[in-house]
Amino acid sequence: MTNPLSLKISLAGVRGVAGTSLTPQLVTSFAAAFGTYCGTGSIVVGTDTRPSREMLTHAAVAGLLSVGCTPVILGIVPLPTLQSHVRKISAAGGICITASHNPMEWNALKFLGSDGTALRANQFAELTDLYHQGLYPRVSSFRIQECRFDDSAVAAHRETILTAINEVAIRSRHFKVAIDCCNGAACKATPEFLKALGCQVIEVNTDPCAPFPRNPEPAGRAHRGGLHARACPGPRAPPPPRAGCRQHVDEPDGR
Amino acid sequence: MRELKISTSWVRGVVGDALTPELVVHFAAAFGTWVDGEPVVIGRDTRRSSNMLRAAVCAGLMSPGCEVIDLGVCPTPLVSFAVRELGCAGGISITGSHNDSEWNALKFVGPDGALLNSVRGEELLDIYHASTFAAAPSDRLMPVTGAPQIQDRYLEHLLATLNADPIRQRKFTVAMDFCNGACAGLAERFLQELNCKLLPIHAQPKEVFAHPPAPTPSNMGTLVSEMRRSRADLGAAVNIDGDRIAFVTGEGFPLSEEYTLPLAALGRLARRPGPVVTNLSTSRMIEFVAREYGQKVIRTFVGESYVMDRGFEEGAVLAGEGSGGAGALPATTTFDALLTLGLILETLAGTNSTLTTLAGKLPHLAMRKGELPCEPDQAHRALEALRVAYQDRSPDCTDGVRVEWEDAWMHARVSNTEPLLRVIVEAGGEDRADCLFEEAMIFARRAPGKEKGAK
Repeated sequence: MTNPLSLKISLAGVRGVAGTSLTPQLVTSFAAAFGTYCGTGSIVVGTDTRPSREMLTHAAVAGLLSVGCTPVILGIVPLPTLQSHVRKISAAGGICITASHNPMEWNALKFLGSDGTALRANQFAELTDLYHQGLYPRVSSFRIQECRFDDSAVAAHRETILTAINEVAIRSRHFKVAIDCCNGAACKATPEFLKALGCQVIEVNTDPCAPFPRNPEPAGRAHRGGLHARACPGPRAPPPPRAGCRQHVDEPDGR
Repeated sequence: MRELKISTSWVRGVVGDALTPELVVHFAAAFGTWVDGEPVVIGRDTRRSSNMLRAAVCAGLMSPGCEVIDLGVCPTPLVSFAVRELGCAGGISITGSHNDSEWNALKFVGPDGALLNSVRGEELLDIYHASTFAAAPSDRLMPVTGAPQIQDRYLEHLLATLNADPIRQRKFTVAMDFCNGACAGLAERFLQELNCKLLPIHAQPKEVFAHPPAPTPSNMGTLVSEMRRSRADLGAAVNIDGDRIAFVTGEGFPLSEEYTLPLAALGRLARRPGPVVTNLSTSRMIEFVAREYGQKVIRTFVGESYVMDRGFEEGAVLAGEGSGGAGALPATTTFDALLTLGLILETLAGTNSTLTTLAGKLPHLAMRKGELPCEPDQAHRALEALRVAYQDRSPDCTDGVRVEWEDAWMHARVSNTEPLLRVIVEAGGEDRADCLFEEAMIFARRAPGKEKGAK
């Protein structure tokens, strides 16, 4: 039985165990409150790879449509990609459905303002006030918008980064990089990004359909064993990182 | 006013403040709990709000662990068929049916493919009111899937129910008004299979429907003009989710929706004898047809779920209402406009006649339908006043008050969908109908407390 106190509403988002404390009803209401907070306009919606993503996307979309917003659905994307896309399409805001480093059964809504950053304390307080008042200005049938689906976000984000770094210098080094994506939101985006930089990529845990293979928290050495073994095969394990054998560990939301 | 109506087989309201996505998520989660997390079929009509409600229904159904089989935009009878064909635990059709564009509703279908009857519906409502819904663990959540072949199988089923060859030989031309609803695509394929030529009217989805969706003569203006212009063999108007239908003759004369059931019975009872079930408010034309074939008519509460439920109980071969909804049992478990159209084409082909001659076989009766706006606490007083006024004629109080005369009947009941008292009178002649109708309205208006409540 899930702890009924597992719901946590804070600046870090609205977080809970999907279905029991983070129910679809709650998500619909919070999405309606957020749509109200942003005013009508486009709201970008993306998720990590957790199995509750589809249910909670539907719930958020219903709430956003009910107050006249246009949901722009990106599917599975890293959080920074979603943030970048909010700015790129001049959206009114964004909702990222991800519980980041929490275990698989959890999920959360993270709310982003039109600048793509997480809501600040005073903004989040306004949002929760709207939620608690519970009176969202629903639009009539004729003013309900259509959902949009956008699969260009990952490529657009990659291009943005490539123009901001010294691509030629990186390319010339032909790095060999082992990447453990914990089967999370960066499964597709990160290897693609590295390949675009001419790196040789060793992929570890990059199946978005598979469960998390370890605690998603990247800090701490304990669960980096698999990555070490793949990246630096040798008799002595786990050896310290060596030059030419860079490591990178992603959280499920791809930060 | 927040217009929301909840019955045992549907939840209906004006989208916005009354029919909110939260309410729909709740109801879908209650339904998913009721079916124990088994697979559920969903479909929706062409309304703009149906997309929003679809998202809410998906979220609510997935939470208790249901696999959602989404048929997309489709008529309610297809949802019903898919539940039976795929062996699902239930279905939800997202459609405001015959209501105007700003309304929408969820229609709940049980494992037998019929709208929830009162027993099942009460279970669902109890779960909804208790607000404790099952929640599947995260790794047991199921995806939204589809059923790509289901339209083909449904059409095969319709064709197998009908005697299709004589219809194909006649090469009918049918003008059909879809009111921008969900039935257009399927009807086109159905008529093609029957070698008929379709002249479509209002066949594209639209934000605001071209006219109110109930298939009644007052909404058939465009269809009538098209019939007079094209000289098609038959004109038909369907509602948004394809459960009601009414007809226009080849000469362009619109037949009231009350004709649908007796016209369907003319052929159905000839080929497959058995009882007919209808409600207490439907025209006596059906008794006339049933008598011709030596069959009985059973009358029950107003509402599709009551009529179909009773139909299966009585082993009926046809069930329907004066609203234009009809279904041939046991081929279908809901009212089905396309099947009803097929039955009528079959009769036209089998008897080599026109709709005008078929309609001419039915007795000419005069009907008056009226309504009295009533606050919820006044409607029952008005009914009581009517019961007392007609006491010497021993009124039937099964559903409101129904009084019978040799040549006429009067039925007054509280509307399921609006704050109204509905009064219907049918008599052998126009004057007699006027007279009985006026009398009933006077009795109802005289209800005690009515003046006090009026402004």
